[in-house]
Amino acid sequence: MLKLRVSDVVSQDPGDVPVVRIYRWDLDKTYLKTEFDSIKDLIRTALQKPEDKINVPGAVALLKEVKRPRPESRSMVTFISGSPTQMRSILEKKFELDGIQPDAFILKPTLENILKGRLKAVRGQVGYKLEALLRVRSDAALSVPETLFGDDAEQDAFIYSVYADLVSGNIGLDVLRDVLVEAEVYATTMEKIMRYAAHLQPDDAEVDRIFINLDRRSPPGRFLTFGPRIVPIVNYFQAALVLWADETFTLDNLVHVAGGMLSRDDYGIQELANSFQDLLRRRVLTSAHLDRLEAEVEVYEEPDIIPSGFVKRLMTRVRALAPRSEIKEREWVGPPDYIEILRADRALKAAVTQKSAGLFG
Amino acid sequence: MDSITLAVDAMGGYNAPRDVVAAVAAASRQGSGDVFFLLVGDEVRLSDLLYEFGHNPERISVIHAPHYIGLGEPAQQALERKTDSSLEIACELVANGEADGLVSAGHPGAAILCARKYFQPLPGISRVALASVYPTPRVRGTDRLGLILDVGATLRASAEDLQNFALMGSAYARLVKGLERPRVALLSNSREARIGPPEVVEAYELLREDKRLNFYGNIEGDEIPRGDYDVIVCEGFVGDVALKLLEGTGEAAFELARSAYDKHLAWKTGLKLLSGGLKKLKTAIDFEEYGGAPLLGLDRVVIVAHPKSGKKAIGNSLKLAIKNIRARLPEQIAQDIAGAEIEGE
Repeated sequence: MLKLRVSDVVSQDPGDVPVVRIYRWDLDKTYLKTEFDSIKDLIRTALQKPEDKINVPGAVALLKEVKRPRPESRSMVTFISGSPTQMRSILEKKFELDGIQPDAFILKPTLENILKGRLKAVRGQVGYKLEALLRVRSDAALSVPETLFGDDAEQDAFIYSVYADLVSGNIGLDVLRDVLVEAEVYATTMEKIMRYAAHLQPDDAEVDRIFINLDRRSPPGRFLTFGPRIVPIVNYFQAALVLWADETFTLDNLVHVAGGMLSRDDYGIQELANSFQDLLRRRVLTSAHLDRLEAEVEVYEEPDIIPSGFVKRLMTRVRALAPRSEIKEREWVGPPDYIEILRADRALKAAVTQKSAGLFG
Repeated sequence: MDSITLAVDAMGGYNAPRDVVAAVAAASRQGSGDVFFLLVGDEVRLSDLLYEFGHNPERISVIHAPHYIGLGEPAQQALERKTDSSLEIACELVANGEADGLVSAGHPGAAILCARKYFQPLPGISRVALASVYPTPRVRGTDRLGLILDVGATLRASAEDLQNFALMGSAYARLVKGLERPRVALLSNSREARIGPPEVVEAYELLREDKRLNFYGNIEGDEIPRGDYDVIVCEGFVGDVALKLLEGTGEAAFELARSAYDKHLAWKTGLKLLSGGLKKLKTAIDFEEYGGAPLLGLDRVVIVAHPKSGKKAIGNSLKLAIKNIRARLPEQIAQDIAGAEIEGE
């Protein structure tokens, strides 16, 4: 039986159906298209009604496939968001409108942090998210693979990567402590994180995929340092394709995500085929994947949620756009130097704020 | 028009493919989301470059072309030898309807020849013309820009060609500057109608009698930058020289200012005080701000950007191409040429 903190739990499926995978999602800019770059944006977001909140294209379609009922197994979905706890009722209503039932939903205690004068914790995400990820994993006491979803607005790629490397034993507690010190995490939070991390078992199932939604259209090369486990995406059709390639999704799951994007998000063949080509160009998918997909499509009976012949037309376009040269997966030597990444990130932020030189001098 | 697709010769220009990819990457993030880009060139180089720039891959397809035409190559021979160059494949994509227009900052001669090979001339047009905008001090219509054509699509032009250039330029100015009756002038070495090369003298008469034009007469070179006329007509050789002279004069003025800045403290102080205004002036005369030159007279939108174009100039060329496609420029020019006479002032 799952052991989640009552305050975090939205729903739990009863019964003995085994959980085979956990999907952990960020909320803003990953599930919801949220703007919080200015105070005005923050206020507007806080006052927005559930029905006015807009989803990232394909997020709902993908989550529905993840949670599609199966008799033999099920997946868990948890949300760990940087939004304040005061948003809970609005966000739960939004989930309800979308037909999504998360298994756990954690929000940030922003007001508590302000009242306690922990101002760095209000803006900082490293301590909060690492602590939440490790706590939920520890509470659930499940050794199943995890898939993580975040975005490029904050430090999701960094945090998720540290978490994944901790779980897989690629980095130890000494590196974790150095990262937390460099990220200026408060001592009390650091202590909790170290305690949870110490309880990780070496034979635990790993985090095998991390998706980063490029909400800010960051250059995808920025994430190369984290290795092939992290896949920057611009829509959830791309995530579904990778999950299909990993054999986590079936072709039917993939087609349903595409179908959802056609009907809800106004996508067409061109956008989907270009998204496919992008993954081939970046060598996330390979020529072998393309061949396998074509073989599966040959014998696939299309559901009526998509226009007749859509999958075959899409495949024709994808094949036409396929790179001429053989595509193989990228090689990677990891894990990255997390301390160096934090320092470089800080240096970059400082450089951006410097004024540019004038016309003369 | 539901959506627009632009074919972009990614390998063309001194700064290609990096600046072309950077410009397309930036353009893919902007706008209403109904513009797609076919980035034509070496797929490995383009894919590697796309890693470096934030972009929206939903709007970009990379189309592989194994070769490209170098800026130093003789255009005709290069096109004959490299039938699978990025330029040729981009033209094919436009010709077969996969794209609505072409942008190239590559070999201008090759771009013009290739466009003429793949696209049809508009009815009544025997020669295409490159039309370039340049900054002027006067606001006419929607902006401070003048239009000069031809600036290099052909070397020489007959009187009839010059008349066609005037008609196409007038139609283009109407469309992009929002002017009902653009002022057209013929570039010569004298304001006197009977002085000048025979084709210019003959063209004067043709333009004067053409009721579709708002023709003002001949002008001399010093009148080009004043901005009294919306369309200045000349043959390609002359137009190319005139345009480069305008560009070079601006650059030389700023070089002089820079050297003065280093020489005397008083000049340095003065220029520092003026730097805000000078920056605006530099922006106003910077050719990178205006993008490329539309190739007029064909049934498709073609923008030929300067080979030394950087990211900004290519980005502006993309915007110009999109604007011209949305405005259905070729159809509009064809209609204008076939259309009714305009009333004189």
